[in-house]
Amino acid sequence: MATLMERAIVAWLHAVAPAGWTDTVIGDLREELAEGAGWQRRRALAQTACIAGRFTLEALASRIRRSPGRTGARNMDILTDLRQAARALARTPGFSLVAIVTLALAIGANTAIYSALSSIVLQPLPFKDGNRFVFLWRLNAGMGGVMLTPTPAVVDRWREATHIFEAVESYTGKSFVMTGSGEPEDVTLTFMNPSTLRTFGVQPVLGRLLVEADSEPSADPVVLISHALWRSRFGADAGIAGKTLSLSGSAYTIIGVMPARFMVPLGSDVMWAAARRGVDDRVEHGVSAVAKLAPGISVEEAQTALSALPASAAGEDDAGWSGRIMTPADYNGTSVKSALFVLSGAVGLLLLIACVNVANLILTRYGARRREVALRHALGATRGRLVRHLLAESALLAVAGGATGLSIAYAGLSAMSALRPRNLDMLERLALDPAALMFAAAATLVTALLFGLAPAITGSRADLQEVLKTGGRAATASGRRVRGALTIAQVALALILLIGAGLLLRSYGRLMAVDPGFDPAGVVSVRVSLPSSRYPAKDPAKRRTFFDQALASIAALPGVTSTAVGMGVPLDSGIMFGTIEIDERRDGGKRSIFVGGHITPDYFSTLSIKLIEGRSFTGDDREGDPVAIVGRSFAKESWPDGSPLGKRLRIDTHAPWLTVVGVAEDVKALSLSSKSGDHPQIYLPRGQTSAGHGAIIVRSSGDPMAVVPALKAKIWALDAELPLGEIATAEQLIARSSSQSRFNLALLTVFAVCGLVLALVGVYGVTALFVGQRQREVGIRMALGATRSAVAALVLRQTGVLLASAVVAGAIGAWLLSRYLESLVFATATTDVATFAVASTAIVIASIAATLVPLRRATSVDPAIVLRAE
Amino acid sequence: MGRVSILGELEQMVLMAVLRLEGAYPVSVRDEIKMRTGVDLSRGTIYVTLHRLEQRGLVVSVLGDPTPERGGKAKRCFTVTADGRAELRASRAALRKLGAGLERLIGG
Repeated sequence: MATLMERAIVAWLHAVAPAGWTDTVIGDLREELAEGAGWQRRRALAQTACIAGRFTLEALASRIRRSPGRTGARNMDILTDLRQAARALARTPGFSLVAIVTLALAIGANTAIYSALSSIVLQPLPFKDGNRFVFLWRLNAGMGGVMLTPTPAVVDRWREATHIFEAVESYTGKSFVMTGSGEPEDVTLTFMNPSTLRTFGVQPVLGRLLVEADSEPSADPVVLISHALWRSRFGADAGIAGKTLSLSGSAYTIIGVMPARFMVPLGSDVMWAAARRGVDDRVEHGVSAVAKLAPGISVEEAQTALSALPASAAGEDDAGWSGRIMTPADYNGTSVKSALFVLSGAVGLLLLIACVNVANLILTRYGARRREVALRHALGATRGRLVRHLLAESALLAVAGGATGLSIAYAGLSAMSALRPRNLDMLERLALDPAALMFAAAATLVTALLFGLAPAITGSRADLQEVLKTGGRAATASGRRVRGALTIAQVALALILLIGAGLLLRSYGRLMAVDPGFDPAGVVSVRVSLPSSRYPAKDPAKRRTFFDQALASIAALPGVTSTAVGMGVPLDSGIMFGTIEIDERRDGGKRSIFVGGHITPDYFSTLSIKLIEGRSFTGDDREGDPVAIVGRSFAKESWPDGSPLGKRLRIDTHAPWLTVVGVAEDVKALSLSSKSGDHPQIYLPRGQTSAGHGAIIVRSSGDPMAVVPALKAKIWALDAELPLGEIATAEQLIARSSSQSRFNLALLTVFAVCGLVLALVGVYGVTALFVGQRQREVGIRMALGATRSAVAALVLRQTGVLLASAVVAGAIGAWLLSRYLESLVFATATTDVATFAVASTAIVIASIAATLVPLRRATSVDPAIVLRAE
Repeated sequence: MGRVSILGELEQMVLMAVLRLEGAYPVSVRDEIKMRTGVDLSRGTIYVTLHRLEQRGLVVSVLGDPTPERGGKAKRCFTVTADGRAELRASRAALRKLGAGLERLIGG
């Protein structure tokens, strides 16, 4: 599309610029906006369009200035046409409004969705050559597709593969506590080589980038801060460069502010620093690796080549590990991508409905205006003149619809940004995509112009006598058939959207009805991570004391009924790795993901998780015999023949055996839609770990957020410098876990309602036309004794045939398209008969309602008046 | 009266920028105006103004050498004609006469 648009814009410039100027203008732009992929090219394109626009205005202005002669007269004609068209449209405000709203809805919705799609899927990294940047991981297919970051030695090996990668850079993130103005805050500092930022080709909006000297071991610590942090924490202070901030007790000098668009690591938006040799470049686990593909290498080619390379350093065990390329879009997960594709399909249907509607509306108007057109033609207007006049009307409608559509697109983008699901942070910085706007505008405008022309062509050819005789009402039978077909198409398309929205609604209802396995009401959790500088791992007693004291003082707060420490509320508790071995089997165990983790004795009672068998932990489980509590599904799977109580398992082949003392009800650990037995659930007593991180979980009798200020104060009374992680109620966490479904449902519902409204306009229009054309016939019938109900039956029969065809076509269409919805629904068949039936009934009832007004008109016909008019 | 036509401010700015520059072309004209006055004119405005001046015979343009960084496209270089100088002179003189004695009121 881009190249097509490029060609179109250059052609436009060529048409309006003085002879021989096009090339020099393009040369100037090339020189100024160094050529490249991505937004530079877009900018050049936008600039070309601006310049072409400026030349167009100049040409128009100079024509009007030099008015005498033929061109002047023609210009006057154009102005007259526009004025007359505006008057004609103002005379039929109903038609004009519906047409403008139709165009606006279609253009706005399409532009918004395609803009989202292109910023998420098509051009994820918004800087020069952004589509050539990929992230590198290690994947272990044998361990259920576990992905880990590579070690520095592996990155060094990959860096040598210059035939695939132009550059491979790595960075590591470390947590710091930022103190100073405001509450202490946990921030991630990304350490990298100064060359990495240059590889990305970004410039700071303020200050300077990192330079080699910053990575000297003796260099003063410096940071670049994110645009978001600059605004939120430093009030967008233009003199920020040179100021210092305190990170975990050390002073760092701020050297600059990065642009808002710069988001590497993805989604993180905090600060960047040079890794000083021997100081910050010690790596405990892996590093994040980002690579720039060599020119002309596709992601697939690079993946094939990377798979052939070792994914471990010399001498390391690399069984099962291989390199894996992730594009920024991959991070959004396939569910987001498929959701966006479904949504763009849906919005495409909406565009179709709108085009059909515009065609329908204009044809209706045409029926009413045949007389006028034929008369004007008979009075000497040339066909060209008539065409121009009708085109002027279409053009005015198009401009008004386009402008309204643009504002709808902007509103839609900000609404999507506000509604964005948690895994779609990229939606936060959506930008309007000019290509999408052009496409949607072009599609609707071409429709409007095409159908706008029909009356001019056939009307000026029509037999004047015939038209005047029939009073201009009688559209031909073929015209009516075309309109009927258009309306069927419209209702069918709307039904497809309605069925889609219905399926998502049903699926969402089922998702909301899922029992998470615990009672979220009144529960709030606070993540805490004790800094190892003050709470060293060697001193587990100090860490335990902190949590014990915190729990004791929070439990004493008014309104708090129960407190506990765990890895988090279910749905937010994270995952752990381990080789789980059952004593009876002694098979070396199975390496897998498990959930649960270390908890204090009151964890189950605080969250109201049911204990099925055995007991919870007690304060005595601190030392001595290691114990565990297991989830119901895991218990049943591991010890199918009897009670697991007293049985043993271990989570590492070198770890001591754990005795099972209790069985807890399964909880939804990762998402509401996950199956209960997906991952083993294993709980261990908090007293038997020295972990310095965890979540303090509080159940209160009232609004859980009401205890948060007092809760913070209690924690800070123990340690004023302690940063608090996320504070969220369990209900917020559940809502977040279903945010993607809510997002899909909301958008598809909006589309379906828009589609339905447009289709109803179509049904109304076609029935009104039918009634209008048959007025004489109805009058005669009534004069001959036909009852009102007989007349109503006549109209309804016509609508009924139309609706029946539409419902059949729509249901078949929805059935054919239903498989695309499969990845978006939960526990719902995409061919769910009930949903199909409800949606079809709804559309039939709505359509019949839309025919009521014309139906009334038909049955209230006074035969005397109708016949007199003849 | 009708004989003295005063050039618009845009036209004067562009003419003076072209006079200042060696081998003036739209990019350098725009940069020159921005650098000296801080006024950031749009590219389109520069092109349209140069075109208008050329049509009135106040500037002439020749094609320069195509260079690789311009994607092989030639530069259009402008010079001010004798007529251009005369009009500029007349416009500036007219403005100066109108402003004579107003220094006290408008400062500077």
